[in-house]
Formats: sequence, C-alpha cells, structure tokens
Amino acid sequence: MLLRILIPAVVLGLVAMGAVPPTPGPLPAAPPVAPAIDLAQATATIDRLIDGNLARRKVAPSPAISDEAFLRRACLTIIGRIPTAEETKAFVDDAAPDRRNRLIDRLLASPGRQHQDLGWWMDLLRVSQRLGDRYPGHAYIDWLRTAVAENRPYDHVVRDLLTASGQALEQGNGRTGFYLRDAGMPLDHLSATVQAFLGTRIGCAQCHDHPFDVWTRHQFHSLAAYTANTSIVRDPPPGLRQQAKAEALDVRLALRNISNSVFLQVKAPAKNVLPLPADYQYDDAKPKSPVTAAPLWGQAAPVAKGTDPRQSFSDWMTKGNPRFTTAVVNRQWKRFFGRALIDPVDNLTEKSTAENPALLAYLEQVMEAVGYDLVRFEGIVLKTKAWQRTSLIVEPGAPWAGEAPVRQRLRAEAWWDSLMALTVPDIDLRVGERAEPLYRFYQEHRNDSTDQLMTLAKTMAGYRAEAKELNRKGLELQERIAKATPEEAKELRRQRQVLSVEREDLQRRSEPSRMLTKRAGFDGRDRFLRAAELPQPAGPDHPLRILGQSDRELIDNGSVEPTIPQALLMMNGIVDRDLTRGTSPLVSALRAAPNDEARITTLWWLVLTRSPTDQERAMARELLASAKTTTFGKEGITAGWKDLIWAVINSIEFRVVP
Amino acid sequence: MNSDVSRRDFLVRAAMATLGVTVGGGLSPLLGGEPPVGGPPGRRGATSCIMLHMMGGMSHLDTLDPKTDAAVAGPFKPIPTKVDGVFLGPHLPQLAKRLDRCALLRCLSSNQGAHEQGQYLLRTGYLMRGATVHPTLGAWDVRLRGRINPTLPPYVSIMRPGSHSGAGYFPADCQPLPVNNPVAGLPNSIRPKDVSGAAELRRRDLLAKLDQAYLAQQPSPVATAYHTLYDQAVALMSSTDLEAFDISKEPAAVRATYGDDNFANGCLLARRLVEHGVRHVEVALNGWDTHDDNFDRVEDQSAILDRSLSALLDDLEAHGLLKTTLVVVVSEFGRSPAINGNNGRDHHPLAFPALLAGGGVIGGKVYGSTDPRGHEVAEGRMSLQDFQATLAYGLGLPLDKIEHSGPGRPFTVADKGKPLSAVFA
Repeated sequence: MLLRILIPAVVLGLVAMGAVPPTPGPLPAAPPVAPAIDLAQATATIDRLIDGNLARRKVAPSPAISDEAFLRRACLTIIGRIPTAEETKAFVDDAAPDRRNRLIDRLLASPGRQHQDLGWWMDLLRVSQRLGDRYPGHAYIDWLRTAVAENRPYDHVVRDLLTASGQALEQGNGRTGFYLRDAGMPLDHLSATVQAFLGTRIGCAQCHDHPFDVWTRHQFHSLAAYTANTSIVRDPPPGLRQQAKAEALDVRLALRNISNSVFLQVKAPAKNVLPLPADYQYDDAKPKSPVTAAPLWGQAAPVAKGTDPRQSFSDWMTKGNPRFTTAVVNRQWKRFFGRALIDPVDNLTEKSTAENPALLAYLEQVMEAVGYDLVRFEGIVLKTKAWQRTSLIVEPGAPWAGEAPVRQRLRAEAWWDSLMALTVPDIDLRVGERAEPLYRFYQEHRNDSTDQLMTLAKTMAGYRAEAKELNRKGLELQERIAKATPEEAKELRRQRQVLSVEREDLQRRSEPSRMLTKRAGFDGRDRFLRAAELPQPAGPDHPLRILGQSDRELIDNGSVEPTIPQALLMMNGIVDRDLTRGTSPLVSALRAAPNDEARITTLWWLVLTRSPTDQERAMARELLASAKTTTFGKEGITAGWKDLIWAVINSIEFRVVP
Repeated sequence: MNSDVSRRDFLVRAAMATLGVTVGGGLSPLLGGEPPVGGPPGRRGATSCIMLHMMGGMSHLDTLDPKTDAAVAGPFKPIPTKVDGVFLGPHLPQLAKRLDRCALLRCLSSNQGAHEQGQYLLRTGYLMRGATVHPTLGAWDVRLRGRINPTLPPYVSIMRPGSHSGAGYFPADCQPLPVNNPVAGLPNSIRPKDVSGAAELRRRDLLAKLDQAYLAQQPSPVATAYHTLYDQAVALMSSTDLEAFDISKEPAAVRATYGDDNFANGCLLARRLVEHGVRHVEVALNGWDTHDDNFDRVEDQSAILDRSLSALLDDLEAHGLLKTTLVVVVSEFGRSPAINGNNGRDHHPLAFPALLAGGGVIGGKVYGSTDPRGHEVAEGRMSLQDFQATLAYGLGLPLDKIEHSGPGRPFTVADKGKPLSAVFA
C-alpha cells in the first residue's frame, strides 16, 4: 500500500505518452520555464507532427475544405453559431491571401467567442443558477463571464476557483460558487475537481481502492484533506435564529432565504487534516484516524500552520503538474476536433497513450508557452491545415490520428444559438440575467440589525403569500376561460395576463434569488437569448434542453443524440412560431432580395452558408410553384416560403458541423 | 432501423395506424401479439417494464433494508409490513401495506461508488470503461422484443435517469424518447394550425430530396438515426394513441392518489404509456444524495416514493396491467451505516436493495440479507450484472443472444450475469 503511494504514478504514464518528464522533488517557486519553442512556428509544427504521423501510418490526409465550409466551421467552433449575413459578406469580400487566418482572429476577438467559452466553462464546472439546490448561482456565472471576457489565463482561473473564500455576494467574489456548488459534499467536490482539471477519475477511491486505476482510498482522503475542511457558513447577527423560532413557517423560510444570500460565505480551511471514514477497511490505517494532506503524485509545498492548505493544493495542481496541462490540451483538442487525443478526456491513467504522443507533447509545450491563454492556443490550432481538412467519420473506439476534425452534430448550444441568429438581430449582444440586484441586496442588508431582518423577512413572506393568492386566482380564471364564450374568454385572458405580471413582480420581491429571475420558460419575455444568457441550465421544457443541453448534474453532460422531441420541435415548433416572424433577420433578408431566384440564394447562404446547387434551385422553384402563392409581399411571408425555410432548416446538413 | 425488413414493417404498421387501425394493450392478434422470445422454453416474460430510479443513492438503511441498531438507524424505527417478520423504514407506510405484492432483493452489491459510474452500471449491466457505450436494459428490451404499439415509441425515459441517453451502440430505434417534464407530456406533437396537410407533405417531400442530395456528397453517421426518428415522429403525430402522453386526461381522483410532484406525474404517465403498449418506461426520482440532513431528507423523499409507488401498484392492478408489467425500484448504490458529521450518510455500493413487483414476481418474498449494520451482503450477494440478468429473465429476454456493437464486438444482455429465476412464478 505504502509502496503504491510512493510510486510517482504519473512517471510511468508520461514515459508511455512521450510527454515532458515530470520534475520530482520540491516544487519550484516560480512556474517551470517552458522549453523554448517558437510560437510563430507553432501552427506549422503541429501540421508537421500530424503529417509525419500520417506518413508513417501510410494514411493520406483528407482534402482541404472549401472557403464556405471553413467559414461555417470556424463560426460554429469559435463563436458557437452559424455566421450572419454580415459576417459572411466580410469574409467573402476579404481578398487578402490570409483571409482564413484573419477570420479566425476576428472571431476570437468578437463577443460571440465569449458566449461559446462561457458555455464551455459552465459545462465543465456543472454551473447552475441554483447552487447545491439552495444558493443563488448568478454571482458565480457573472464571475466566470468576466474571466472569459477578460480572457484570464486558464491556470489563473483554476487557482482562483480552488482558493475561493469570503462573502458569496460581495461583488466580484462569485468564484465562491465553486464550493457552493457542492455544499455538503466535499468529497464529491474533490472528485469532480480532479476530473475537470486533471482529467483523472478518482471518485471510486472515495469508498474503496480504485478497481482499474492505482488510487487508494487512503490517497483519496489524503488529497481531500486539502479542500474538504472548506466550510460554507451563514453568519447572521446574534439572536436572529433564536428569535426566528417563534415565527411562522413562511417567515422562517424567508429568513433562511435572506441568510442564504446576505450572510452566506465560504470559509477557507484552517487545517490540513481529515479523519478517515468510519468504515475504512484497509490495514494501513485505523478507521477515523486522521490523515494529513498529501498530493496524488510528486510533492507539494508544506502547509504552514494556520494558513489555507488549498494554496499548496492549487499550486501542486496547476504549477509544473504535467497532467494539468495534458488535461486542458486534451479537452481543448476535443472542442476543436470533436475528439480528444486521449479519449475519453477524463479518464487519464498512467497507461493512457495518445495516438500521436509527439503531437500531444508538443501541444503541451505550446500551452505552457502561451501561458494558458486559451484564446491564443485556439488561434494556433485552428490555423493548422489539419483543422481545415474535410471532416472524417470516425466510429467511437476506432483509431483516429487527429489529422482532421471528426464529423459531429452541432452541440445543443450551437444548434439553438444558430436558430437564434436567424430569429433576432444582434443576437450576441442580447443580455440575460445579471447578479447586480443580488449584490445590492447584500450591500443593503449586510449590516441590518436583528429587528430590521425580522421586518424584512415578514415583508418578503407577505409578498410570497400575495403571490400565492394571485396564483390561485389565476388558476380559477383558467377554469373559467375553458368554459367561457370566445368573447368572454378574451377579456378573461386579459385579466389573467395582468394577474400574472403582478404575481411575477411579487415573486421577485419575495426571495433574493428571484429578484433577477426572468421567466425561464420558452414563452417568457426574454426567450430570444443565446444559450449562455438564458437561465442555467434552461428549464426542462426549453428547446435548448430538448436539443441536448447539459442538466449540469455531471461534467460535460450535454448530449448530441437524436431524439423524437427534437424532431417534433424542429417540425412543429420553431419554424412557424419564431423563425418566420416578420422581424427575423432571415425574413428581412428574404424580403429585401429582388426576386425569388435571389431569395433562394439568400436562404441557402443564411442557413447553410453556401450557394444552392442547380438541382436544389430547381427543387425550390418546384415547391414554390406547387404552393401556388409564391409572392413575397409586404404583408409577410407566404406559405410556400415558409415551407421552403422549413425544409432547409430541417435538413441534416443544417445540424452537422461541416 | 436495423434492416429494410424492419423498416418496411414499421411503415406498414404506421400506415395502418394512420388508417385508423388501433392496437390496444399490446395484445393485438392483428400484429401477432408478443413475438416469440428466448429464455427458458415456454416462458413468457412480463409484457412491459417500469423502472423507478432512485437517483443519488437511496439510503437502504432508512427505507427498504432498515436496521434496529441505534448507531446505524439514527432516529428511525422500522415499521412492520403486511409480510410477517419483514420491516421497512418508518416513512413507507403505504408500501408496507402492499409488500405482499412485492419481492425485496436485499443483496445487491457493486464496486461503483460514484454516481455516474454507478448509474451506468445499473442501467446497462456493464462497467463504464473505454469508449464503448453500452445499451440500457430498455434498449435491449426493444432490440430483442420490438415494439408493441406501432406508433408510440417503445421506450420512454422520464426525467433523465443518468447521463447516458440509452441506445448505446444499438440503432436509433432503441433510443428512449426523453420526457423532461411529465406534465407537459410531448411538446410540439401537433402540426401548427396554419400549416395545411398539403403543405406538410410538400415540406417533407422537399426535405427528403435535400437530404438525399446532401448525403450522396457527405455521408453522415447521424443520417440514418435522424431519418428513423423523423419517421417515428411523423407516425407519432398521427397516432390515435398520442394522448397517452397527456396526463390531464386522467380523472382528478386518480391524479390525487399519485400526488402532484414531478415523480407522481411521471409514475402516472408511465402507467398511461404501458397501458397504450409502450414496452419500457424509466422514471427518475432525484434527491437521494443525502450527505447532510439524511433523516429529514429521506423522510421527504420517502413520502414521495411511498405515495406514488403505492398509487402506481394499485392503479396498474385496477387496469389489469400489474400481471404483465414488471415494476422495479432501485438506486445506483446505498448509503453508509456510519452517520457522518452533517447528520448525513455517504455513498455505499457494497450493499443495497431493490424492490420488484408485478410482471410475474412472487409477492411477499425477501431474497438475501445484509449484516446487522447493513454494511455488507451476508447472504445471496448479487452483482448488478446478476440483477440485470434477473430483470432480463423476468422480461423473457434471451440472455445468450449475441448482438454486435459498431466495431463488431459481441455482447449479450446483462454481461453474463446469472438470473435469480426464483423471483418469478
């Protein structure tokens, strides 16, 4: 057992992977100096390593993609949606020989990139706007949004998350959400952290020695001793809890909600010792005996008495830890190419080998050399010839040399955001919920006396009761509407609408975390938002979830499986209800075109980013003729055109990354 | 669709449904009733299956396998049931009155202590390793027995029991239809009012041509799956059984017996689906991951389970469906006998139970047992492969029938687990 702990497990793995050797011994004070590599040559070097591997395996690379396909792929990958008419025009009009690289740089600097990257972080960190089923998560989302907008280096972000502490709703301190997410489950939190940032699954060792990997239950708890004493506390003024006991349930609930916002804080651990579980079953230690924090491999700086042990943990994880870099490179490669160099991304073991070890090793050097700047890394990789080749169909489990992207379905977010780009103008600039009202609430009430808090709780409980009453009235109206004549029903519906606006307002005042909540349902007022601006995750009925958005229960839990509800949504839901509204960019562009031929061209470019073939043009004309009403007048869109749009939007081509 | 024959068969059935030929309850002689199944010769399995997944790790010690040792039981005292000498946790009183219709397997054991891996093993019968994505029991059920109702999806998954979507390496016709919100049923299943039947045909006709032209240039791994699902969606839209998804059609009195939470509505939807010839339904009840406040939370969770499960058993019985529907309650693991510092219990895969009812299950029996602390299985240890095999046996699936994954590797349902056939009559 002890021997197993002492073996620097990763050494074996790295020899097998051909990556840079680890540096055992004391952790260097400064980050290790990256091997001198010429970043200007990085793109070319990646191609050389890929092509060398192809030549060895006697595989011919697939042909380069067309400019149109490149444009579509670049937009879907970098900004998470298909290009708008303006973006397409800018690319087509650019006569420069390096226009592909210029497009990549333009997209990486655009607001669309931030939506895409925020979505990636939220999937990785299982972000929800209700953390641990009870705490507001909006400040966490805001913090991540800012980190993405400022393009803060990946390793810095991870360190900030690992060492988060302080008041949860102090503006700028949303990173505390990292710990709130798993409130009460510090061991699961650790498993998820190691899975996310080291691509390694140690969760099994929570209960017993890992069946397929080297990790022991003792090691798991030693690692947990760094983080598991992080506590989540609510520190209301003295006497509040006592006084609350005399109040009715609704007031107590209101007080709890207030406490969960105003007094919520994450406290850094003051010790690095954790008792083993009571059912510890191995001979090397007694149940409940204390273990001192120790890393999984290599060495970590000792924890000085009274200091935050997570500092040492975060330095061990992110500075000079080879698997930290392997994991992030591997995850990024999967984002761009549809499959990781070591697949799956989160099951790295000492036996893991990449199909092309030299490529992985070099990419790790590049990642270190760019200082974990993910945007810069993305630019380097997407400019390769490899990324700009025709995509390949690769079965899961089948070998793949990484020479071209794997053909894949749009992720739910990209699918939804592409539909949104056709439905509303300036989609990347539309803003959803922000946490400001919560910060204000915290500032206003953080110093409240017990009496003031009791009054506040009673007021909020009152709003809640009123909202409930209005809800009851609304249901009554609903029943009356069902039985009413059409005339009466119209008036009743109006009344119900008024009621529902009032009710929402009251609900917003009744609970801190609702103060900023816009309606999450698809029929809410702000339904035309990009995925990263919607409530996180979207409600279970929302089209985004139907298309496969992660429920945020597990890391990267999105799905790209086809389902019947998706087919129904695309056939009966989205086209006739939203996409063909008179104000949609799609309809506006079609209306502006001079004649049907030009409109057919426009439709194909806007939806599929290419010209229609002659055959497709003929099919489109035939449909318009059979629909009889082929005019496209000021009054809006006619049935034939709706049919045409429907068919193109429902095509397989629309939902596949080219 | 896996072959031209089955595709044609499907279209014929879909067409029959469009023409108003209805099929009720899965016993239509018109379609030949049950296809012959393997397993022990002459044995017919339960027609349908309802799997109730207790997500997060249900505390066996406070529900289906209670203990009297106060250090383990905490504040909970076991209650007697209709079966002499068999006790349940204190917050399952309705179930206790119906235990004579259920079998308890107090002997499941696994080595997967993380949620995702545990749920994967439970649903598929295979360990989550490498790149192969295995099919769930529901997908095997559809694969090996086919559908009953030609226009309804054969496999429905309510509230997503796990990260795994279902079909694994099987084709898309084994994929479960996901229902995220049982009250909403199946959204978008009706053609918009202003779209005429002629327009719909025009649309689909052009779509077929566009896809054909595109796929000739750009073969796509998802193409077949999409076409299958579009076909199924179209069949579903014209299905006379579409209202199976609409629980608002149930009398208020029936709805009241189930309760009004998501799980209650999911169970009610499951009964309606089974009644209309859906082969396999999964319903998830979240919230069992009780690392803190175990006893308060288990009490709340138990109340939900107790009411809805009892209502489901009674309702299936009242509809004459209990005999032919296997109902299963199970969780990815149990929880630790030790009570942690937050008054909670942690993950415990070593020993946990399952409850089976209906579908030929002999009621009032308990199989296996755990030690007095509920820590380990004392007798009759059953791996999750054995458990999967037992369910497969109950459904009449041939345990030795070989199916191949994409790259051509052979697999059988339940990964060579041994069924406990004594559970069934």
